Parts: sequence; structure tokens; C-alpha cells
Amino acid sequence: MSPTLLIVIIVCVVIAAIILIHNAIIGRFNAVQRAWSDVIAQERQKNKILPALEEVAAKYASHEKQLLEKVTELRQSLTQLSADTIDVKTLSQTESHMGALLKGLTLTVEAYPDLKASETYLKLMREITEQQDNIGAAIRIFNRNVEQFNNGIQIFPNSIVNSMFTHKHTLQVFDDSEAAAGFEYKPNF
Amino acid sequence: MFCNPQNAQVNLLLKSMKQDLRQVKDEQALYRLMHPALSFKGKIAYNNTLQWWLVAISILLLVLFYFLTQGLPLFQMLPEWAAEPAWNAWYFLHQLPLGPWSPCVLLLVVAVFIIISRRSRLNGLTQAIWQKNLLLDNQLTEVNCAPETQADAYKLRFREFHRGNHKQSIDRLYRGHHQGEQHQFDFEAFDFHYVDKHTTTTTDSKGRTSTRTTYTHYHRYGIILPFGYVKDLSVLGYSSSGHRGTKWQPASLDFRRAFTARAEEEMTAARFFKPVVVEILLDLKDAVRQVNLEFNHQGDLCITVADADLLSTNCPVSLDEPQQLLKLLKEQTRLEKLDKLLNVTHKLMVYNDSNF
Repeated sequence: MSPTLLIVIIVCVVIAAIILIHNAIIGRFNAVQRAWSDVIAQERQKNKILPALEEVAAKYASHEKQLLEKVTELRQSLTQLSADTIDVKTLSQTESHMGALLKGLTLTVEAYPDLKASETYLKLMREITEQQDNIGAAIRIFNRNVEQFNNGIQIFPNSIVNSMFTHKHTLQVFDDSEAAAGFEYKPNF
Repeated sequence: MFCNPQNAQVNLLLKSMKQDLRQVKDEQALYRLMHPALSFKGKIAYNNTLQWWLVAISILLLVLFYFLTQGLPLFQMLPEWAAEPAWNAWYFLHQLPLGPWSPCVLLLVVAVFIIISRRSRLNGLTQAIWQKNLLLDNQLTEVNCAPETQADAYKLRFREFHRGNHKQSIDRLYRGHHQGEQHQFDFEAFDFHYVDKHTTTTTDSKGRTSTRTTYTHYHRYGIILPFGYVKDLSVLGYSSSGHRGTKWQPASLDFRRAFTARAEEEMTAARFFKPVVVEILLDLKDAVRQVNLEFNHQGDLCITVADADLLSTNCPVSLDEPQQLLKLLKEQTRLEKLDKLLNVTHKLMVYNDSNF
């Protein structure tokens, strides 16, 4: 084998490897965006339960005005979420609003036992549970994709391809600061 | 000579227990079945002393014959009165059509066969009792069906059964019922056996062709049930057998590596693959091997896996320890992988039904 042919083969292999690595990074980046869209889509599913929540709040409006206010806050927060930009801060705020709303709902139910037994409430709680499960799963999938994307641009030789051609930056995973505040231990990343 | 009293008693016990096992319908009957074994005098085991002696003698003779053929001057070492008969015997053995080894090999094979068949008879009954116990503990009912006809019937409903170019059969079929928190359903659990036939033709250096046919046997185990919330969708963690539809990829990169999803309509897939469903399926993939899910056009679900322990497990003790066996029979033994499939199915129903 002549040295020229050997050099040509090596160059071709290197170019093919660069293309494969570049495409893989783009593929993982798109998967992260898609996973983020799923998180937002699941968050917006909350709009489905808001009318039922308002119905419950309206029924007990004279005593539970705060519940209606929390529904409004959640609705406003949902409108701020965008599928186009990865904004974990707004997502975190929305989750806080949802948490506050659920706390308010629990207090209302404790004050009105007949509400707890009502079919609307039972269906509502089942739907809320499923939605929260889906949001939790969507966030875990998003975080896992972010991890794989970050690995994909940081490990060698992908880091070289990324710095020279793809120019993608590491992404931030979603973490629940409210839940993290409950732990004394803080990881020293 | 071949059947000493102990072996005759063991034979009698196994025969009567085997007959009684067919009549067992509940746990109490299964415990009663063990009474003759518990009151059996001595250990429930065959006496194979004679067969082991035959094995030893055969091996000894084979070793001796080997050294004789290698030129060992055995006949010269023997006293005069023994040398001639030994030589005559050796000459006679050489006249046998299959060579001097054949009587020893035959003796060895027969003795080993008797030992193995006796052992498998005992283990077979133990396993049959254990299987009955598993069915009772997991509330499964055995269904008698024509194996090939049943496979054909399933083949009409699911593409999963379009496997094997030679033969398909449902070797075992059970019916059960699952009661979940929100949903309940009847299901059929099966052992699907299919055979691939390969014919290879080879030509040697002299131009002569020879054809060799091989049969490879495979088993897939699974459940079928009316699902109702999804139609025309497949989630394949194992090879496809003609599953149709447009390929669909959820956002999860882990899911994409583990499964191929196909649906007749993209909207069906988009609705079905909720994040929590994706996680449930990824969790299922870690619990079982080569899992495939197929929702057919009627909304029925077929889940298949490669794990034989979906429908049966090996009995940890033998019938020769009847007390231990009875103790195990009295415990509840769940088929964990079957429970896993049923729980996953229930979760899929929960996350696909409508709450309003």
C-alpha cells in the first residue's frame, strides 16, 4: 500500500468520524429539545384540570378564596412556559405554584369532608396524580437526555469535534431547589 | 434381579401420585397428595447399585480392551488354565460385527439410561407437583387446547405469532384474572413454540452435493388480554415478525436504544407514549428479556418475553425430601415475572384511560 493511499484512507476515516460525531451531537441535542417540549406539554395538561379545580373552588368560594387565587397563579405561570427555550427556572416556579395549589386543596378538603367523598374530587385527584407522575417522568427523561447530551460533547474525541465544528454548550439539568433545600448535604460539584 | 423391592415400592408410589395429581383442583388436595410420600418407609429414591456396578465393570473392561489393542501382554501374564479361555473370549469379541467394544458400550449405555430415566421419573413428578402448586398459587387454570390450532388462531390475531417457517404450537395455555386497583381483566398466558427449518446444500471438492436440514426450536412466553385503550401499535424490544406501521420515537434516548415502536397512526403513538408510559416500558425491559408488546386492531394486547420462568420455575427441593416439599407447597409462591407483566399492563391501562 502506497503512503499516499494510506494518507487518503486515514483522512477519509477521520472525516467520516467527525461527521458521525457531529450528527450524534445534533441528534442528542434535538432529543433534549424534544424532551423539554414533552415537559411543557405535560405541564400544559394542567389546563385540563383547571376548570374542575375552579368548580371545586367556586363551590366553596365564600370560605376558600385563596384556592381560586392559586388556580389563577398557576394558569398565569403555565402561559409563561415556552417549548422553544429551555427555561428550567419558570418550570420550577410552575411546579411551586402547583405544590401550593395542592396544599390549598388539601386544606379545603379537610374542612369539607363531603367534598372528599364527591366524584368530581376523586376524579380530579386521580387526574392530578397521573399528571404529576407524567411531569415527574418527563423531567427525569429530560434530565437523562441532558446527561447523555452533555456526555456527548464533553468526552474525548467528541469534545474536539464540538469545539471545532458543532459549538454546542452543556445544558443545565432540572433540579427542584425547594426539595433540595430540605437536605443538609450539598454536593460539591 | 432388575427390580428390587425398594424400587418396586418407589415405582408404585410415583405411579399412584401421578394419577392422583391429575385430580388435584385445590391446595388442600395438593397437600393430601403428599400423604403417601410422607408415610413412605425409607427414602424415596431408586436403588441403582446394580446399574452403578454395571457401569464400573463396563468402564474397566473398556480400559482393559484399550490396553490389549495397544499390545499389553496380558495373556502371557495369566496362568495357563485362564489364558486359553481369555484368548478365546477375546477372539470371539473380535468377531462381533461392531467390534470388541460393542458389548461393553451397550452395557454401559443401558445402565446409564436406566439410572437417568429413574432420576427423571422422580424429578418429573416433583416438577409436575410444583407446577400444579404454581398454578394454584397464581390462580391460573390450565386450558386443554390443540397446540397447532391454537397457534393458528393466535396467528390470525397477532403478528407476533408469525414466527417459524416450519411449525408453530401453543405448548401450554393457562387462563387467569387480574384484579388491580382501578382495572380488572381476564388474561391467557401461553408458551409459544416455533421451529425454523434451514436447509443447506454443500458441494465437496469432487463436485458431489449434499443437503443438510436443521431444525431450530424457539420459545416465547407471554400473555394476551383485552386492553381496549390502544389499537394498532407495537413496541418491540425483540425482533419484529412483520409488525406494521410508521416508526415512532419518543423523546427518551434510552427508549430509542431499547425499543422500536410502530403505529398505524402517529397520533395513536403520540397519545400512548406519555412520559410515564415510556418509563414503565423501560422498567419492564430491565425486568424481563426480549419483550415485545403488540396492540392489535381489536384493541387486544399481546406481551411476549423470552423468560421461561414467566410460567414455571424449578422446584428447589425434590420429592425425596417430602417434608421440605410440603412446607414449600404450603407457602405462597408467586410467578414474579408474570406479576410484573400484569402490573405493567394495569399501569398502562391506568395511564391510558380517561378520568373524566
